[in-house]
Amino acid sequence: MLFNLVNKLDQKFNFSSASAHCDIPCKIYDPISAQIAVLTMIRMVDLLNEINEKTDLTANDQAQFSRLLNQKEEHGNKVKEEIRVIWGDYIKKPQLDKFPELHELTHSIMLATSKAKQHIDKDATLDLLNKVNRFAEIFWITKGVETFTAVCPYPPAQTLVYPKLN
Amino acid sequence: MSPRIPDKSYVLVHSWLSIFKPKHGNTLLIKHPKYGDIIKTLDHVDNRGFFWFKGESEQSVSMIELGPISKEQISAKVCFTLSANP
Repeated sequence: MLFNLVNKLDQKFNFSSASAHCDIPCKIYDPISAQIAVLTMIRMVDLLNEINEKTDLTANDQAQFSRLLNQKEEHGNKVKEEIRVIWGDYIKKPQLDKFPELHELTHSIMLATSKAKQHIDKDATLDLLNKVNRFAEIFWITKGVETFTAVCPYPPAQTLVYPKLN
Repeated sequence: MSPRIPDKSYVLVHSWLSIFKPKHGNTLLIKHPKYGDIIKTLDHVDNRGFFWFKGESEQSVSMIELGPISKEQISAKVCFTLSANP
């Protein structure tokens, strides 16, 4: 109610404005950060599973388990953040008209990331990678850049969508 | 991370800065030569008397990008924020 009242006063007296937090339109967007974050999650799951196969855990194993889990969690948050920024700041009507699946895809990435964070489940992280790769593919098409797929030359050796920049 | 002052918020400011001197953590309105009128949080004052402001998130204009701010560039202190969706 108070907001509406101030809003009406603003319309009448035209208050001066200031920028507050960020939103400098830097136009630097690249889904590779999200893709690498998913690869990290997959790698963390592989390493967690290696520890899980041991019968007796030393204190070092337990400390390592905790560190790996923290990294998986942290990179899950990074996936969400990177995708949200591209979706919220870069994706606009022209991209949505061309790819109406973008809202649904972005939401499904949020859900898939939560699932991958909640479990030590390789299939969940691979499903997330598929979705993020599709997001990257759409992103590059909207930039007029062709893509190709290749297996990343480092663990966890999964297939990524890359832009053809040459 | 959500910005502390969401987009389209109204902020009430005062410019009695000689009475209420800016302190660490205060949210202030600055006149910046590149970014115009911008609201940032005071991080510290260096030994030459310049004010340094921090960003609120990873996407914020960073302390280095904003650079040192002189006392004369600080125009007001935010004392109340009103958001559409509190």
